[in-house]
Amino acid sequence: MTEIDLPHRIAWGALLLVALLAPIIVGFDPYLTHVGIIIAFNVALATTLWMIWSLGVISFAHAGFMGVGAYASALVLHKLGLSMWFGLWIGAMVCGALALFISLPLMRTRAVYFFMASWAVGEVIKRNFAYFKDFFGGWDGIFDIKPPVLDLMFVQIDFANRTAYYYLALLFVSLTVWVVYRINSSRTGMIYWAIHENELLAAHTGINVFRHKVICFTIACTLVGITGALYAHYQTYISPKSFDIWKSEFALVHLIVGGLTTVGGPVAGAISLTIVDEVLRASGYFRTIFFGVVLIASVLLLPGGLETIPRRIRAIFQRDSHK
Amino acid sequence: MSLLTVSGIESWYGASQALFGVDLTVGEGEVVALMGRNGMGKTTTIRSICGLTPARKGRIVFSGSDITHQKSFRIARAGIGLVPEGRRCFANLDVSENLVATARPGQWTLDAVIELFPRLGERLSQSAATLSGGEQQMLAIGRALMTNPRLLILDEATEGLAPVVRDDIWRAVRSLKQSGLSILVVDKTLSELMPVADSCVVLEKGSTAWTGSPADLTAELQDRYLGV
Repeated sequence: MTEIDLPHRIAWGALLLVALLAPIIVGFDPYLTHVGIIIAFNVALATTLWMIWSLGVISFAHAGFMGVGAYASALVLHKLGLSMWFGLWIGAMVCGALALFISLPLMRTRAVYFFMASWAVGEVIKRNFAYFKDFFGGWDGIFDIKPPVLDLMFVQIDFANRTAYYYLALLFVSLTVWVVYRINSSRTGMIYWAIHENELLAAHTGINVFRHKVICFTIACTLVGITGALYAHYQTYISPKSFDIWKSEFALVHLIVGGLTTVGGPVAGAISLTIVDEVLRASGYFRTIFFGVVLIASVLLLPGGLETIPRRIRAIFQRDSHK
Repeated sequence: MSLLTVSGIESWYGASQALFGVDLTVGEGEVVALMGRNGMGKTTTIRSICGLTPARKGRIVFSGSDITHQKSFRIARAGIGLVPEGRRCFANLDVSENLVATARPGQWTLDAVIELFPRLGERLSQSAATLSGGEQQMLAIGRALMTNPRLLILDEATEGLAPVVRDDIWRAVRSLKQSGLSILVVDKTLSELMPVADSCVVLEKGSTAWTGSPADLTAELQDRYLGV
């Protein structure tokens, strides 16, 4: 596993510091703290989707797997009476097991066929939530998914408090990004990008392409399952519509705007576009149109995404120094 | 003792038959030149050996095991390293990542590959996409060596390269031969190929037409089979 170099350490450290101080910076404003939590969920969704992208495919079932984690955790609470601390891990395990099972046929498809198959998987997951009304609550969804309370003997943290939930979400999202980052910078990550570039070439250098694809997909879906559980206990209500195809598509947009080649891309894309989306909320009906304009403008004006900004700045300084 | 034995393989691309019975043998530490005019089945033979275009008939035995219908990655793990036609590298990885990603334990390490191709050592953190054609070919050979193969297959390794770079590649091939590595090599440059090869296999219309030592490949045979 390669060590993280100094500039990256500084960049990630600064981002984490800003994230830690954000509630203080915004004066514990409930709405802005809520935006921070939504950013955290979107970062986790986009980063785990990017992990699958490192294999060269985009899964439109990703929001569906987030839903599996969310529903599993909600049902653990409602049917078994166990708190999110159990639901989170049970949700992750259910999500991982389902992802492993589905990836066996799914990862045998390629290119447009993978896209169509993953779309179908996402739809089937969503429609199952709607169809089995007695178990999943149908289109009405599941209500009253309580946030957890952490009892540390000497102190109790009630995560119904928005600031407390922000830090909980930040912790898990940071762990998710860290896991994805470490995998990506390891030899396994190199293998994923080799598969991304040329599956056949990867295979005849001795890489078991199928096994790597299945494992990568399963890890990414397990991580997004944890995010789903966190989402459910934050929103306290989930329905099939919470995890439809649009959620996966927005995550894809976060990837494209942020950049597709480094972990920083989806993180930057999710942060910036969630903020843009919230800023445009006031425009009501025109929000989607404005969002589309911002998206097209960013793709046209910043090809390669936000992740290319440091490189562009470096290039400007190097050009100036050569004059 | 033979390391690789290909017996009467027949391969197809969809409904089109490309190989009609190819036989060849590569012994331990031997360099075998696979020859023939364009379209005679050299690359298809290599693809069949590596499991990319599996043979429908015939048998391929490597180190005593039948690999005819094995998956490509298992064949590579069994000890066959392929340097494919067209200097294929993982363009989205840098030089060291290209080498390390597919590495398996053995005598060939990153240092050993850099010793063989010092130019790669100067470009370890450079993207493979930005290398020159010759450097990409060195990288492709280095990557195949990092899998620590018992048999190295070189498909048109010097095609389209500048003479000075070709010299580097042939120097490396000679060095690999001296180290005892078995090599199956496809190349059109007979003047460079003949001194290295221990034996030659000539393909004609998808089947083995002639087998023998380079010394026996007379001008008449070269004219008949290779159009030289």
